[in-house]
Amino acid sequence: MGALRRLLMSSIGKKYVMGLSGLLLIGFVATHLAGNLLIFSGSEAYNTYAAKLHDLGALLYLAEAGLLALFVVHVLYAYWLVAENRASRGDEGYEIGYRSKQRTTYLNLAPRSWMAISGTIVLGFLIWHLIDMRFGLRDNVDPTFERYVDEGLQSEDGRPLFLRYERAIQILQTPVSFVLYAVGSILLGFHLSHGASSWFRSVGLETHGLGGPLKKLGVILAVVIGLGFASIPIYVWVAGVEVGDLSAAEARERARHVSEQALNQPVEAMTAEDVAPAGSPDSDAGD
Amino acid sequence: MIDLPHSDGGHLSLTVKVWRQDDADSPGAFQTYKIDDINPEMSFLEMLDCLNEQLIQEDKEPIAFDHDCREGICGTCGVMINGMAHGPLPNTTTCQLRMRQFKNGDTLVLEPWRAKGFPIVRDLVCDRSAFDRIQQAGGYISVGVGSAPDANSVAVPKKIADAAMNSAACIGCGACVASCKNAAAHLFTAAKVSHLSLLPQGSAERKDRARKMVAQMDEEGFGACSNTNECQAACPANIKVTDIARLNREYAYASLGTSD
Repeated sequence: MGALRRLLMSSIGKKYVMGLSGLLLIGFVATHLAGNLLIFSGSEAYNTYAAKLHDLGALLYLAEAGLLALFVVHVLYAYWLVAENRASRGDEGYEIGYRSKQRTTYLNLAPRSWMAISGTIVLGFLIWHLIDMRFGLRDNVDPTFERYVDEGLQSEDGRPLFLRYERAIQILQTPVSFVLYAVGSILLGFHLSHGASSWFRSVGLETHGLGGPLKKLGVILAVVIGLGFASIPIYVWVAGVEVGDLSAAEARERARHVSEQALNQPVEAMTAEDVAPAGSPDSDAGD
Repeated sequence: MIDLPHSDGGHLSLTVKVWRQDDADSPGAFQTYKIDDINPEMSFLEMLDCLNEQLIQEDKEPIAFDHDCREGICGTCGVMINGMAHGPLPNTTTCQLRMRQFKNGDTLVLEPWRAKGFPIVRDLVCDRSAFDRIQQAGGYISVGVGSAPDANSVAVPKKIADAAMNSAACIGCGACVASCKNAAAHLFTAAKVSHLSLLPQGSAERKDRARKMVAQMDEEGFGACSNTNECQAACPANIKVTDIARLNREYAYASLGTSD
């Protein structure tokens, strides 16, 4: 145990933690993007994906707990390192600032030079994003799903059925969301353009001749992830995606459709008239 | 690599802004001096010599700066020139820098290396004995390797020999620490660890070496590596950041297994 503690307290060990937690977070972010891009396929595909994901139940909570732990470790170690690194530099800075001798650096703006700043902005965005999408606490957005839940739209075990697509579109339609989600996504890309390849060296995997190609792959991955996420708010804004003001009956119908198709699960608390009469479109969907 | 100004061959008149500090405990400040008639073929340290002669004639205290061999091999000199360790040229020590790299009328800002691990002794001189202590922690071979073996009796592949030699080129000047935003000493430590651990004679103690040298490096108050590659750009001995990857690898290997 003493050896492990010594390892995790050393300057190199802390970077192992940063690199490996960062790598796992990249894995999450890439998966998250793949799922989110279903928004381009429209309501049904996205809601079906969301319903299936949320149907994982305890497994999902376990995954969320793991993710939370990863984020906490990554962020705490980052600020710990920043504090130590600042102390190492000393109180007296250079008079005219440090000037890079690297050809590729323009005005010291290379992403590698401001990981703590880009990381902090991404963290702020992440918290905002969780408030919006995970907890649904932003009240300037019409919480569509809650209104329908009040009207009895629940699955058999009492969980509310969210119309995730409609809700995401409504949140992204607000101007403040457009700016925050686009900026947050691009900053995430900046952060990863260093992080996605830097971890190789931090954990000692980089060897001679591998640095250049790894850097390029990292930047490509970062651009795909950054622009991939940014494309969603831009798409919603530029294409003017609308979900319209669904009536309770329409929302219930849509949710029931998703529920039946994705989970093969009937929706509780339907009135007798709502239960589809024979020959309704939904009976085909279940096949 | 870097757009370098060149003088037209005429002698230079320069404004030199120098950090003056009596000792580690006194507050320091910049002093500005004018110096004329600098031959562009002079080395940077010769320019400082001229400036000091001028200061002595004016009955002022000359500027303290470190220097020894003046041919780029001892690692003693080192000044932050306009925010760049050893000045604007790549793979160059301060003593190898010529005044032709500057233009008539330029202002030069000269500062000591600044790092918690390198306390300032006086003016441009800082105490780099932290590097000696890192070296003493494990940068040696203590197992008996016998007398000098017959030529080629210890087989070392050319690639390995070259890599060890490249790492051994480190002169311990401290430019890596000075140019790192975290004042990290990883490039120095990595060069020393790489140099010895690559060779058969040094591989017997590689675990203890990596562990002890890294522990000492942290103890001295140097920061962590952020992989920004500034050390590599500032290094006069052309040490590569792939050595840092090797150090990280050696350290993982040393930490996970039993000691030597």
